[in-house]
Amino acid sequence: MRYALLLHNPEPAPGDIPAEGIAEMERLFTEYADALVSAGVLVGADILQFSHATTTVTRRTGATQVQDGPFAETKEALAGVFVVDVPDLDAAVAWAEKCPGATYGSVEVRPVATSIVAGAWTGHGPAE
Amino acid sequence: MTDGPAYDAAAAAARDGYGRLVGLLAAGSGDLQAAEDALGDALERALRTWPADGVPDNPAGWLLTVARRRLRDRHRSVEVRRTTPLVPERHAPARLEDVDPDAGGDRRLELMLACAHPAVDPVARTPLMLTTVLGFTAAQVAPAFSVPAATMATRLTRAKRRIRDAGVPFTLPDRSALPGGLTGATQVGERHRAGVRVRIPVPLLRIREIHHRIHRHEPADRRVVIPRPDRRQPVVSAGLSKNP
Repeated sequence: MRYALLLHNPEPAPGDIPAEGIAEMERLFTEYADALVSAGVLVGADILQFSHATTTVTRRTGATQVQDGPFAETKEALAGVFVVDVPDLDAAVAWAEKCPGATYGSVEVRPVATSIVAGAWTGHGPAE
Repeated sequence: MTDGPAYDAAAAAARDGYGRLVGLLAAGSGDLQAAEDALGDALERALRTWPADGVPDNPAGWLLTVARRRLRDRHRSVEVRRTTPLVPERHAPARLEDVDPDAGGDRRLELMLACAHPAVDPVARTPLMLTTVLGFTAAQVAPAFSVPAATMATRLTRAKRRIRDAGVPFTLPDRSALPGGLTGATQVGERHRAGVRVRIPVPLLRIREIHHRIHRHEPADRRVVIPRPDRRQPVVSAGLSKNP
């Protein structure tokens, strides 16, 4: 099954975290990514820029609306996505637990319903 | 139809084998609702056919086969179901005698661990065990948890959907995960012992008993211990009769 590990954390203001702290976290994330790759479970990973850079688009009312900022302002913002392919929830939770982001934020473990594999939608979980 | 040997045989198979059959049926897909529905259909069919055809030598094997077939039917398209003829060799009742539910092992502990998984809403864990392992209905357990039957039914449905969709495994944790992985199951027992909200000693004792039977050959450090419910606690067992 595929799971998306969604990293959420409060966004620090510039200068809140010392440079060595950032370097240390980058090192931990590299180790984490290496572990995912060598276990053969990583599908893809993206760490996002802070939400000040985001733009939200909707056509819900018919006309296209482009809005600066995230859909909803929250204390913790979406900060990154790791997609892993593992046998079950326990394995996914174990990887979430190892994620460095879990030490200062939270990691949401969400099963993937369907994804594009080789150009076509491919189901994963039970389709209902 | 509430009497006769056919009814008694079906009732006995359901009482003693419910959790075992649900465990076997659900372990593959993780779909508890589908497993329970399939077993319900099989029981209904048993009540319709056994009085006429006689009780099979191996009622549990019969139920398991019919339920498995129902599960397979679910996965097939309507088209296939409408157009595939019954094949006498494949569907003949004689073959049902060969099915041995013990061959698939006992998945009841896996079933209980899935019900007590940390990903399942804590308030749903105990009722989920009572319904899937022991075969109680939502309406039967609801009074013991002081909620209306409809609320309990919704709670159980939601929990079962979660187990299926989130990919909660039907596995025994390995040694490394044992202490953490089993806290859910033991907490259910603890809550009973504390008698905080729910006190249902009879079914819990049966869960302990099933548990013990599965684990009697395990070395002591691998055995899962469910605490004994405190018998001194006043018992609230409204609506919980042993036999539906």
